[in-house]
Amino acid sequence: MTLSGIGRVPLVRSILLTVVIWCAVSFIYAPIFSVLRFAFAPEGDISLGAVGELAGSRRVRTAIVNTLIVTGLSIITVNVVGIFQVAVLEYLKIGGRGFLRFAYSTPLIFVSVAAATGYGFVYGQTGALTRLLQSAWPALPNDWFAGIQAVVFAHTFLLTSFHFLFLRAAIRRVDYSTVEAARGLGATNLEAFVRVVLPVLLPTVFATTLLVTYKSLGSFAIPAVLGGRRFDMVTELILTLNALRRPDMAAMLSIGLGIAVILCIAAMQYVERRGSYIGGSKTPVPIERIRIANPVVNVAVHAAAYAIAVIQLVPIALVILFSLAPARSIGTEVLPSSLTLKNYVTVFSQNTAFVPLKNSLLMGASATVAGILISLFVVNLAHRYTNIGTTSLDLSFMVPWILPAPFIAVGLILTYDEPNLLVANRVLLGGFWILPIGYAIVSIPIMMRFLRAAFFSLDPALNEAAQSLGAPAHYRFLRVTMPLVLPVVILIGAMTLNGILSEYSMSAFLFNVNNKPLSIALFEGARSSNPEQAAINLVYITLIMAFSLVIITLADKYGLGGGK
Amino acid sequence: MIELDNVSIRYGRHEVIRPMSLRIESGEFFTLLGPSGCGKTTILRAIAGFVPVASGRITVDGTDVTDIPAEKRSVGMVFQNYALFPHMTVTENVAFGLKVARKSGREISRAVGAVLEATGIEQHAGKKPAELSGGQQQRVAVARSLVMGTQVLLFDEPLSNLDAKVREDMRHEIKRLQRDMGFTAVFVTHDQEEALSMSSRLMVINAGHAEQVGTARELYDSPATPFVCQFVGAANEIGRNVARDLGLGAGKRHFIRPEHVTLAEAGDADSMHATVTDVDYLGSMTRLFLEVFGEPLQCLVLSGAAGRNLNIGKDVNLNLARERILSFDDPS
Repeated sequence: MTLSGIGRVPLVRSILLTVVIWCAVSFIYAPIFSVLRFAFAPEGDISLGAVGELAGSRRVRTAIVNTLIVTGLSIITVNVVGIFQVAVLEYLKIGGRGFLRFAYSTPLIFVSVAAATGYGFVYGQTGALTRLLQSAWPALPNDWFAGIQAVVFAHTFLLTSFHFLFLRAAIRRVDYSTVEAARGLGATNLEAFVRVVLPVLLPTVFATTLLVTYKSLGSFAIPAVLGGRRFDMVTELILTLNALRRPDMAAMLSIGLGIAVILCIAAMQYVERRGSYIGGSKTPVPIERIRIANPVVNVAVHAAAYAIAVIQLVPIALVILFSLAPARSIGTEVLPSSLTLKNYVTVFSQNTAFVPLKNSLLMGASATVAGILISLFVVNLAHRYTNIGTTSLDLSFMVPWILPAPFIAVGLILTYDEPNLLVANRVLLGGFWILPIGYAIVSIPIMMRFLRAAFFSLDPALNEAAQSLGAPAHYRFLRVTMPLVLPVVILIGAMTLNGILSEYSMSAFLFNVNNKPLSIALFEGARSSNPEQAAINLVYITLIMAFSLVIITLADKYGLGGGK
Repeated sequence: MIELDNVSIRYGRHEVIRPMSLRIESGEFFTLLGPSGCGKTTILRAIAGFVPVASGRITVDGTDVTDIPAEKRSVGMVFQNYALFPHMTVTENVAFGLKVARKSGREISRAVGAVLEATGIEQHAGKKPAELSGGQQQRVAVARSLVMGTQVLLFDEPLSNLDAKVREDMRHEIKRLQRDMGFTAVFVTHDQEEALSMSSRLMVINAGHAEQVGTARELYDSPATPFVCQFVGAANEIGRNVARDLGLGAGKRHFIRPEHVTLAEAGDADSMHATVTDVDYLGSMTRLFLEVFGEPLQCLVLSGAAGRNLNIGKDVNLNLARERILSFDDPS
């Protein structure tokens, strides 16, 4: 059966199908086509001039080198810290495990531009830690925390969330009886870890490494806020080239970034397919944490574990503390001498302070609702009818998953910076809706992944039972399928909204005076020397973290993809 | 009445059900019996409308339903895992079909109450499926279909998730409901004991092909094929040496049920010598594994005083009831 032959398609479904296909053509395929056209045929004829110009530009070469260095170093440092954290939490007997787990989980709520701004607030020119260090070493320059080392430092402690989520889950799946069997055959604890546990974990380590690579290659907010004015990475340079009215070079560079990201994802898929070891045991024994026998090593491991926790907690603690402090404390005190709710009152009462939050909430909610409706329609269709039409539609909305956000953003700019027939000859660039469209397009793939899991976890007999009781398709969808996937839909919606509140990559390209979002306000505030603005920033970051905490707690409690 | 006329079913190029015709009378308890993967559930799902047929017609009570979608066939189905809607209470589950049919609130309430009482689950009306035992879930699944007034109810291995005791109770429960309410039941199972004890008639299926249709006694006593003979009840295939000793015709396969192999007194001229190779104590009965002329044979004896002395290695004498030997042409 083809898509057109679904048969007895009601009028409503036909209209929805038309709208969804229009969305895919207008906001996925047209932007991709624009990027390719501007990169390879800016004047109409095929040309590789942009490649030559990019290769000849010293700034571009430097940005690429910076990106590669940051990525290479981040892979090493994030893995060292991430694997150590997982060993501390799951393999070694370390005191205060609950506190450490809380500290190590903070990268889940302290993300993107909010985290970058928070690190800048602590380690930056007027940061509390900078002031503390300068009181000990007066010769320390104000901008000591900038450039590659600052970016790699932030990556190191902010990108460990993948290890916290995936490597911990992997080590918990290790059957401890295999460790005991190895020990029974004469292996020491260390030998058992190296020869039995590590081989089981390696595919996950490799997969998390690829995720770190993927994130580092496209890192935007962290280098923009912490890198300093003369430090470029590829993503920021794409934005600069676009601002300099060189769409051909911006498009070509985004294609290069896209290829790198696609290679990473292809490698991840390969690892995902090949790298899972299924234990043969029907009654696996949970892993038991081992006591470090050597007292010196034990103290050293404890010290390192707590040092990492402090590094991860201090920025968050200071952000929350100073969000409750008078603005004058910022940049003058290491710890606030008094506390007040004035900054929160300002954010919620002053229009100028509230507008970015309002914009982000409005755009985030619009993008989330649109994304969920499209995802539900496409996933339900693909779930019910497996044919070339539904598969093509399904894959179309997954395309943004393998393209970096700047690629999509540049595509949207190049497509809609002049009247376009696809949107009734209107110019979208400069308007309010261009940014929510971008948010929705990049959010849909992840929504579809979770929804697909929820749909496939449903017992098909439920639908058939409803059918045998006389229920038509729309009734079955509304009364049987939807109530069962609703918890997942709500959680996905909340997580998407949460992500959009601190989304920076798409925002930096597509924002304008009509829709300035929270992330851009944070970025601008981070570069401002005005303490009042800094105080508002801290309130924003605290609110984002609080929202994230609620969402992640709910997601953890109710689970995602289970269709409960 | 359900009628399958030359129905075949294909999955892609693979014909999973070869053309078959079948007539199930109104009020009958009919069972589709066969090993896993033989196609019995596929036939059931074709009757329900979940699987399209490649050729042939299906009629229910004289109406050709071949091209009618499942939701319009008025054929109820009880699924293997019951498929109760987990977010609805027992009452809501049972009322589901009536709501779809836009019956009035009063009508729904009366019909649901009556069917819950008939199936003995009225005290669980407000519970969600997760709060019910397997047997109670089973009753809800039956009630959900019966409340629609359907005259045809399809059961897809509904007892396979229950433990032995509940399973036996539910066999009687389903038979009682079917008898009291008079609906036509089509039951799928791979369990021969279940099939023999419940059905008025059965069809034995093997590799998408109907081997035989008949009553339980017909299938057991007069199997049409060696497959039916071996699948319905236990059967010894008589080896060449024993067959030669009994003077049975060559070019045929011969079978005998274990209960038709009996122990004989020493000195019985018609008996043959055998050695016990293994003993299965089954409670009231004991199954003996024997070797006769180097060929295996099983027999069932009462676990009384006689059975007590039968140990591995013991020599015994056997009688095979010649009139109960089942012979089939051997095409090979």
